[in-house]
Formats: sequence, structure tokens, C-alpha cells
Amino acid sequence: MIVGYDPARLARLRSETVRALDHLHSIRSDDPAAGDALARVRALQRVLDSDLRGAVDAISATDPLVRSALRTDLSGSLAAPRRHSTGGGGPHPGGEQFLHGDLIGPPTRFSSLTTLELMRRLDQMLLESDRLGSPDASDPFGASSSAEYADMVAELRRRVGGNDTDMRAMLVDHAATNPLVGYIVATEGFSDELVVAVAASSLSTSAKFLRVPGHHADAHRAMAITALLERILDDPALALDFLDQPGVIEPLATWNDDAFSFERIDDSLLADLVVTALVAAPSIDTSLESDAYRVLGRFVTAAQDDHLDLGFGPSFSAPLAVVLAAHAPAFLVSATNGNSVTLVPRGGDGVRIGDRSELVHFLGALMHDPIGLSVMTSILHDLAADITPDDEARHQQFGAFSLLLREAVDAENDDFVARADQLVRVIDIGGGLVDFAADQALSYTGAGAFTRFLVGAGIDAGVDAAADRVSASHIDAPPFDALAALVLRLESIRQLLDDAEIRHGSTDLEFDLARRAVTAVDHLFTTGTATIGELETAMTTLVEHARHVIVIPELVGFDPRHSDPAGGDRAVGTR
Amino acid sequence: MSRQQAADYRRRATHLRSVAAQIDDAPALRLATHTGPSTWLGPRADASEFALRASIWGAVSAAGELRSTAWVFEQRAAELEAAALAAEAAHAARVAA
Repeated sequence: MIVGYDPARLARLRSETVRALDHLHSIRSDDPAAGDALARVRALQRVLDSDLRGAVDAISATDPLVRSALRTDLSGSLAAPRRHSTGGGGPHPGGEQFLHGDLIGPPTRFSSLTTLELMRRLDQMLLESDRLGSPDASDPFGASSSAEYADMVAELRRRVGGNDTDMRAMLVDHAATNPLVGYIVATEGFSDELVVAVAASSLSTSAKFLRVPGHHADAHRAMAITALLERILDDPALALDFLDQPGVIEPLATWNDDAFSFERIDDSLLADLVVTALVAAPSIDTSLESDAYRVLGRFVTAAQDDHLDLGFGPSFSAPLAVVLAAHAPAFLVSATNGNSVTLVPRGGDGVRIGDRSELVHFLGALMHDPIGLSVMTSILHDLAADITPDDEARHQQFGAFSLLLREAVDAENDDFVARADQLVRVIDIGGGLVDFAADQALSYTGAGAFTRFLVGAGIDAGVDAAADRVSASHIDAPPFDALAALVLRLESIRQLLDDAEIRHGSTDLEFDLARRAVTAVDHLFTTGTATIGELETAMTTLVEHARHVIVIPELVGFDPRHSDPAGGDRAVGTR
Repeated sequence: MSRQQAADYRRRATHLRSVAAQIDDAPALRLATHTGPSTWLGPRADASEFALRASIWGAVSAAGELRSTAWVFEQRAAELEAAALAAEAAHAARVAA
């Protein structure tokens, strides 16, 4: 439905459309490399033919004034546009502004150029900066040596500030192929809204794989994106808004994959972006919590993408795990709520972030990364440490969350098996603790030992980082129960003995003695009749043997005699 | 053979650039200056303009991609020519020996 129009301008639009169609018909090519481009030209033809001309013809069929205008020579009829209204809308108050908005600032050397010509000039400036050689991060596009740069910035400001919507749209589109656009918008004080739109355009999947001419195109692109992200990070709400744009997460999450060999974007910048958007923004302004959950849902959706089969990578896995930890209470509640995973913000309606299988896949994507894995295990620890004897709901939530993690591990591919096996053990023990606690009125929480066990099970590269994190955040951990500590100690040593890579030149005899000691302690546990004292003695023997075999001092340095024997000499039930 | 292939690549690159130039010069890309609220108002006008702008961007980016492909073709041509030159030099050296 058309609610208002200017007959003369409409007639002009129709004649220009016909002229444009004639020209498009003349564009032809037999070269297969031009196939995609020609398809887009034909798509434009169809839009002109059916949408635009169709709409004009529909109006002219009912309005004799338009038909009359169509028969007139229209070249001089634009001076005083008249408006017809078929409804109550009336003329748009800002109608002329669209074409002739008040430009901000004095004219520049570029003021006579059309929008398209201005874009071409920007392209030339990009190529000129490319010829300067390898870009310098402090001035990647050679602004300081360009006589035109300041004028170009002024001209863009002048047009964008003058509400030239064509100019804004063109800048956003052009940023996909010309990184200079993103750099200028990021560093020259353009509006937040334009920064987000240009950043999203620069990072779109199609832009990512677009070849940008120039020897230093990749470096220029990475530097422009870096400038945009740095600008966005100034404001957590803006960071959240940016990640809420469709199509930016997958390109960002895979940008630093070795497979693509793009110029890298600083991992810490990407990590900051995730944590700033999903943790800082809703912390500063709780009304943004539902937005944060929606964006988290976008990550869950992205994790289903084939491109992320190998996980989110180090830039995103660890920060996302931190996000998960920050929102753990909401996740815990949702984990027990059936198939749909819905997080409920404070004072708001629930935000569905995916179904159960999608969440499982998401967690799996996080755990591909050693740091992500170790942070996840720390979450398990924190959750276990919080459980109190009479909190049955918490038991169920922890069990459900553990199950989700377990499913996540199961869902991952064969490459993940070695690490997954160890995590499964962690989760089984965590779940076992809860079951045991339910039976025994939760006398044993074992926070400190659990932490160390999880750290020990965090494996390879994750060990050091997780150990630092855990030791920093749990330095005042409450005394742990001796029995829980022994259970966890046994399991960790058993796993470590199975791992050939972390034995240090031990003899077969030493290794055999350690394994026998494990079996002995294991036997004491499974009989269910040993006292804590007997178990501690057996464990001390085991630790002595293990010291000769295992190189991780934090684990073998543990001395059960120094633990807090809160449980006393209590008979041990079968786990 | 390499020189022939290089020539083919250069010819194709020239052709792709000319197609890109044709797209750039298309009056269709400037049609948006004849639309907008000073011309018409309403949902159908909005929808038509949206489709127009989206397809204009499709064509503009197509022109950019054609230039990128042309650039790649020219690079390949240069590589083939360099390889042919090296082969000819090696052949000349063998003949001289």
C-alpha cells in the first residue's frame, strides 16, 4: 500500500528505472568467474522490474495524475514537488532531508563527489596506503603521511552528521571490502550506532572470505577490526549490542583458526569482548541481563555450526566458560527444567537459549580447549562446595548439570576421547560425591581436595592456568573432609599413574609398587569396612610410592595426615 | 604453454574488470536518489526500497569481487610468465653449454 506520493517524482522514478533496466540488460559475460556477479546483476534487474516498476505501475493504474506525468517530459518538473495522500499520513516531515540533509561542517575537496565516487576515492586511498609497505599499528593506513586523510574524515563526518542515510548505508556496506572505512569510523569519533553497524559488516561471514586487493590487505583488515573492537570495548553495553548483531559470532570465533591463516586478532581482545558483553554489561545494568542471555543463546546456536566442530578456540572458550560460571545459578536451574534451556533474568521473562542437545553441543565446544575445560571443572568445584546437607534442590541441580557435562563429553568426537575420559572421571566422582552426600547427610564436602583433584584432572596445558586460578580464588577454602579427600586423592593418583606422559623416568618396579598401592587402597574402600585411620595409612603408603612415579608436586605433595579429620574414625560405606 | 595460459588469465582479468566497470556505471546503482519519502510513502514503498538497496549492494559487492578475481588472475599470469621466463633461461643455458 502506498499512502502518499509525488506524481512527478514517481514518473521520474519510472523512467529512470526503465533506463537502468536497459543498461543492466547490456551487461553480459561468458566467463564462468563472472557467473556469481552476473547472478547478482540479474537479481537487481528482477527487483527493478517487478518491485520498483511494478509498484509505480500499480499507482499509475489508479491515478490519472501519474499517468499524465508519465506522458510529460519530466526533465524539468522537479522544482516544486507536490504530494498526494491516499490516507491520513500526509507528507513526511523529513521528506527532503533524505536527499538534501543539512550537511555538518564546511565543504571539503571531496564535497562535489557522489557517494559512490567517494567510496572509490576511499578505495584508492586504501591502495595508496598499501603501497607504503607493511602497516604500522600506530598508523596502519598512513594517515599522517596523507594529504587527503583529514579531508576525507571531514567529508564523511559532514555527510553522516547531516543524516545522509544513503551515506551511512554505503559506509556500512563498503566496510566489508575496505578496512579503511572501519578504521576511520572507529578512530574518528563516529556514533556508537555506526561503529556497531560497520564492525558487524567488517566481520560478516561474507566479508571474512572476500578478497581485499593489496599486499597488506589482511593486516589492514585485522588492524581495522582491532580498532573497532577497542572502540566497542569502551562501553560494555555497546559490546553486548555488537555481539547481538546477526552473523558476527561465527566469523569472530573462528577468525584465529590456523586453518584460515588470516592475520590474527589479539586473543585477549576477543576474550575481553565476550566477558565485557556477557558479564560486565549485565552486572553494571541488570536490565541488560535478558539481552546477555539472548546473546549467550547466539553462542549456543553458533556452536551447532560445522565450522566449530573443533570447539570455540582459545579466544572464546575460556571467556565463555567464565561467562558460564558467572551465570551458573541460572544454568543450574535451567538444567533441571526438561528439554528447553531457558535462563530467567532478574525481574524479567525467561530467555530460551536453546534446547538441551544444543546446550550439550555448546558445552562440548567449550571443553575442546584446555583452559575452557579447566574453568569448567572449577565451576563443578564451586557448585559442589556450595551444597549444604539439606538442600535437595541443589543436589538435583548439580546432578543435572553434571549430567549435561557428561553428555557434552560423550557427544564430542574421537579426537577428544583422551581428554574426555579424564573429565568423565571427574564428573562421575562429582556426581558420586553428591549421591554419597545424599546418603550420608553430606558430611563430606571436600572442597580443597576436590579442587586439587579437578586441577589434577585438568590435564596438560590447562593444569598451570587452572592451578593459578584456583589457588588464587580458593586460598581460604574451608577445611575438607578427610574421607572425601582420600577418595579424590585415590582417583587422581590412579589416573595419573595411567598417564605415561607424566611419569618421570620411574622404573617398572616403582610403577608396579605404586599400582599395587592403588589396588590396596581401592580394596579398602570397596569393602566398606575400613576406618578413616586405616585408609589414611594406606593412602600415605600410596603417596610415598606415587612420589617416585608422578611429577606433579601439587598432587603428590598432599599429606593426608595434615588434613582435618572432621569425620573421625568412621566406617566407610560403599560408594 | 605457460605464456599462453598467462595471456588467457590477463585477457580474462581485463574482461572481468570491464564487467565490473559496467556494473559500477549502471544507472541502477543511483536509482535510490529517485526514491525516498520525497517520492512516495508507505509499506510497499518501504519494501521496494529495501529490496532495491539490498540488490544494489549485491551488485556493488559483485563488482568488487570481480576486481578481486581479476587481481588474482593477474597474479597467476605474472607467476606463469615468471616460470616461463625461468624455463626459457634454463633452456638457453643448456643450449649454450
